[in-house]
Order: sequence, then C-alpha cells, then structure tokens
Amino acid sequence: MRILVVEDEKKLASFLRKGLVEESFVVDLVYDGSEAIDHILGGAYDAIILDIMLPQRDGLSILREMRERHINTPVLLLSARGNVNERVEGLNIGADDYLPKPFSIMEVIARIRALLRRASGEHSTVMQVADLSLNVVMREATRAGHKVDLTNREFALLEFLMAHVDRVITKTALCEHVWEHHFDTGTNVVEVCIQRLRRKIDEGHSQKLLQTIRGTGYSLRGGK
Amino acid sequence: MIAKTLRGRIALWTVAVVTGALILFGGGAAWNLRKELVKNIDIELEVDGRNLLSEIKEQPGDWSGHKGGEAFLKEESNPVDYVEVQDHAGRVLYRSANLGKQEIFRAQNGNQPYEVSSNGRRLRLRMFETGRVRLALGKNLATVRQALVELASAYLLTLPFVLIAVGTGGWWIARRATTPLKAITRQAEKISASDLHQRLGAPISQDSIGHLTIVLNEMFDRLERSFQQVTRFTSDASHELKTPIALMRAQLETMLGSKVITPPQRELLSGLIEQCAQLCQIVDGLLFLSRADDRRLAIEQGPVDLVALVHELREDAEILAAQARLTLRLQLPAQLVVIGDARLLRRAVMNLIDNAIKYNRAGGSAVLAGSTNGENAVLTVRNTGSIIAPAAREKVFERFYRSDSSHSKERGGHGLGLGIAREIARAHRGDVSLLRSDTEWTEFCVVLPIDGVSTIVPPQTTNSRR
Repeated sequence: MRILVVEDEKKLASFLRKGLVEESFVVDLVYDGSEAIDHILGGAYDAIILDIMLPQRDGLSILREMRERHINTPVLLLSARGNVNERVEGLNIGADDYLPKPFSIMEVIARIRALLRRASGEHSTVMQVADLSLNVVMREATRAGHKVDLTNREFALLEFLMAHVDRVITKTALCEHVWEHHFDTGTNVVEVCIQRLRRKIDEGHSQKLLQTIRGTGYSLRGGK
Repeated sequence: MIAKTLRGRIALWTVAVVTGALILFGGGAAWNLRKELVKNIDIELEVDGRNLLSEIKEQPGDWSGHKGGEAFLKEESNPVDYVEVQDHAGRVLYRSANLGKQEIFRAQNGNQPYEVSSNGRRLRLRMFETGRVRLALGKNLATVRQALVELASAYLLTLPFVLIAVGTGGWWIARRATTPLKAITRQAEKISASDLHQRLGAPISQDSIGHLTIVLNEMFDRLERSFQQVTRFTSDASHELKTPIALMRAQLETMLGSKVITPPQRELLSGLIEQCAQLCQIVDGLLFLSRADDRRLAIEQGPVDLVALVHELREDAEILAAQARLTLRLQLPAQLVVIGDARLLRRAVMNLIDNAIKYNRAGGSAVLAGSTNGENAVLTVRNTGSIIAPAAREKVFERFYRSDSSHSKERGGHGLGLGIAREIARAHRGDVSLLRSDTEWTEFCVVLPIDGVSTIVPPQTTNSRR
C-alpha cells in the first residue's frame, strides 16, 4: 500500500514516514503543495495524508483539485487543533477523515487502515479470501488455520492483492504500490516475490488462490 | 614550466625583447666606437704623412737608398707602424721590414684611407704622392680591436645582471597587471550552475579589466536566463505531461477491469499500462532533476546509516542479480553513518545498484563496498560491465545518455538514473564519479561528507575540474 505524506514540518513528516514504514507501507514524502499535486497526479497512491497548512499551496486547494479531477484516493487531513471550520470545509470538499495535531502515530495508522478498508469495501480488520486470512493489525496470515510466515514485502504484497481481490493487478501496479523504489530493470522483482508468496500460501493446497494472468499480471481469486 | 603561466610568459617575453634591444644597442655602440677610433687613426696618418712628405722634400737624396729612410724613420720615432716609399717607376725606395710580402699600394683609392688584411692583421692605410715619390703609411688596427673586445666583455659581464633585473621587473609588472584578472577568475570559478545568480564584484577601474568584468557579468545574465528557461521548461513540460499520462493510465486500467475484453487485448492493455508507468517515471525523473537544477531539492537532515540502507535494498538487489545470473557481493563495515536525507540517498544507491546489475555481462559480478575516507563516507559499486570509453566517462551522467552499443536499449531504463544519483550526492555536498572502467571492473563511487556540511575532496576522480 503506497501512502503519500504531504507535511511541511520535516521532523513530523519523517516521524510519520517511520511509523508507516514499520507497518509495511510504502511511503512518499513531499514537503510543499506544488510538489504534492505533481505526485498525486502522477503516482498511484492508496491513501494520502495531507496537512492543511502548506507552503506554496494549501491542502484544501490540493484536495479540491484532486476531487475535481476525479482522483478518489482516500485522504486523511491533518489540521491544527481548534480550527473547526477548516475541518468541516475539508470534509465537505471530499476529505475522508481528519486528525487534529498533535496526534499519536498509532492513531494515524489505525485511521489509515480504516480508510483503506473502506476503500476496498472491507469492514473487518481481518481480510479473508477463501480460507486465507490476513490480520492487518496483528500482522498475521493464516491459510486453512495454519500460520504462514511472511516477510515484510510478502505481507505488503498479499495485503494489496487481498484488498483488490478478484481484480487483475498488473505487475506495474504491484511494483508501484508495494515497492518504494522503481527498478529500471522492470518487473522481475515482482515476479520473484510473487513466486515466493505463492509457495507460502498455495503450496500443498488444492485451491490455488494466487493466479497468474498471462502477459498481464496477477489476481487473487477466492471464488468457487 | 614558467612559460605556462601568463605572468611567466610576459616576463620571458620582456627578457627576450630587452635582450634583442641590448644586442642592437651594443652592436650600434661598437660600430660607432670603431668608426671614431678609425677616424682618429686617419687623422694621425694624415698628419704623419704630411710630415713625412715634407721631410722627403727637404732631403730628397736620402731616399735613393734603404739606409737613409730607415734611419729617418727610426730617428723620428715614428708613430706610424708601416711605411713604403716608391718612385714613380715603381721601384721600392723603402719598405718597413714588418710588412712582409703584403702589397699595400692601392692606386684606385687616391687619397682616401683604406683597409687591408694580412696574416691576421688588419691595417689602416693611406697613400700620398709628391712629384718624385709616392708613399703609403699604415697603422695596425689591433688597438681598435682591443678597445672593441674590452667594450664587448664589459657588456657581456653586465648583461646577465641586467637581464635578471629586467626579468624580475617583467614578472612584477605582469603580476600587477594580472592580479585583477586572477581575482575575476577566482570569482567566476565560484559561479557555477548552482548559483548563477552570483555576479562578479563591481569593476574598480575603467580599463580593459573593468570592461571584462562588465562583459562577463552580462554573459552570466544571459546564461542565467537561458538556464532558468531550460529548467522552467523542463519543469512545466513535465508537469503538463503528468495529467494526461495519469488520465490515460486510469482509463486503461478501467478497460483492463472490464469483463468483455479478450486475453490478447488484456495483454495489450497491460503493456500499455506499463509504458504509461515508464513514461511517468521519466517525467518524475525530469521533474526531480529540474528541481535539483533549480536548487529546490528539499533535503531532510538526519543520521542515515548507508550500510543499513544497502541491507534494506539487498532483498530486491539479490533478486535482480539472480535474474541476471550475477553474483552480488557486499563488503560493508558495521555501519557508515552520514547526515542526510534517507529517502534521497536510498534512491541514489538504488540507482547505482540497478545500473551495476543492468549493465553487466551474464555470469559477471557486482560488488558493493563501503569505507570511510577522512571526513567522507565512500560507497563504491563496481561491476563487470563493458568498458566505458574515456570520452564517455562524464557523458554517462548526462540525461538520456545511451552508449552506442546495440543492446543498451533492450536493457530498459531511461538514462536518468546516474544523473539523479549524482544530483542527490551533490545536494549532500558529495559527488558520484566513475573511478575506473577497464577489462576488470567498472567502478562508480559515491562520496558523502559524514557531517553533511563539510566540503569534500573526492578520491582520484577520473576527471578533475582543473
């Protein structure tokens, strides 16, 4: 899951980044409004944490432009405490949630998870596809009741695939949402990681959940 | 060695010109001196000749035989060195013994003095005629020659001292003349692409140096303007490209999700999506570089352990290496901490690793090594790639540079990676350079100041700026 953090206060931004990275999120940081809109227009983000007070361009105008362009990525607004009008305006123009400063990193993560769940139509913190379940809070995966040990990367990969169950996910999209850096060398890394993940979740089970769509990408299928 | 500096050349030229002038002057002086001395001799000859003639007129008889003449000449303690007396029939009446066989009469010269060389001697002669006899008187020019030799040796003795003085003076003058130039050069050197807004100090004088300052400043104005135009253009163009690419991609993804498309169409769509993503990467890279050019890179300052950073990238790097059938080796210390921006540094290191894997031969190897060098952390990435021609060693850092080799295109990549890595390092007051590229290794090195602010001295870089 790739998150964009738009926060001009660098200490706070890097603190947010650190907390999110520990939860296997891929994080991009930008410090000002004009750079933020570049990233939002070009990047594929699963959620955006947006400070309202920003140099060059404030968060609300970024949010407005995003929604006008039909970019529906969930947005968590960060605002100074006490400024109710701002928050109301933010929610009215399309923010999905807000958090007044100062906040705890735990709460940011919980709210981001909630936003991501809502975006994927899930309500529980445990994602379920057939007999495969993924507890994103406890960071545990089980298949048919057996615990599956996953590396951070594999966990992030599975989380993204489960959030988009039954949809075809291109290698390009996986590369962008699960890896922080982009490889010139293409999507070989994705293939290898998918193979490893498949070995862990599908080996020894008659129902193969993780399917390769030839020439396109992958799909996690829980159907009959 | 001296001649390499402008000052040295000016001093040497001064010495050369002064030497030439002194030689001309000395030659002129010697010529004049000789002329004067010879003139004196001529006068003496004239006087002596007249005296002798009158003697001969008074004592005509004595000149029929040798003895008389000899006695006469001795008596008179004659200042003349050589005498010959003949009658008009050409019979020799008297001839000095020291004359040897030398013929000294020259009828065609009349009364004009003339010179004759004999046996290494040079004689100045003059003829006189009376009704009865004609005589020739001569003087040896050895005294003149002696005077000239003395003059020349005096000259040659003082010449080195004069030349040293002139050279020193030339050096000093050249120094005075070039000092303002040096100051301008120093200032101009400091004005690089990163701070084109700087200008040379206001001209202190109205001379050509002052003019040079003004001309240079105007040139910097133009340079800055066009540099800004390029940067702004890149930034604007990239910005404008992003929206349509994003839109295109969103639409392609919507189509991909549609139930009615066939597998071949799906394959085509995902290929297009990948192309869109690549285009987006290029645009991002360009935006990043234009921000770097414009000094707008936001650098977060914090401790970053380069070793930990490499280990974070290791999993992916090993997969990439295995795919390319390469051996990846790490030779890292326990830690290598610098002050900088972890996000940017990770990108720089990743680009170098990606590069080392991409431009390698199958079965080759790539080695990452870290060390410290005084105030700098040094991370080298070497691989067994093909040799980078010396002419291309700086070009590999240029945007969209591709070597001519036929298969470089199929390796993917868009030719911005090394440029981005270098900009990141430079934004940290470090640098990325190509250390070597030979049959054994091609080695890039990242040098970063450990405290994040000190100036750096890169180790044996392939191109030095001076």
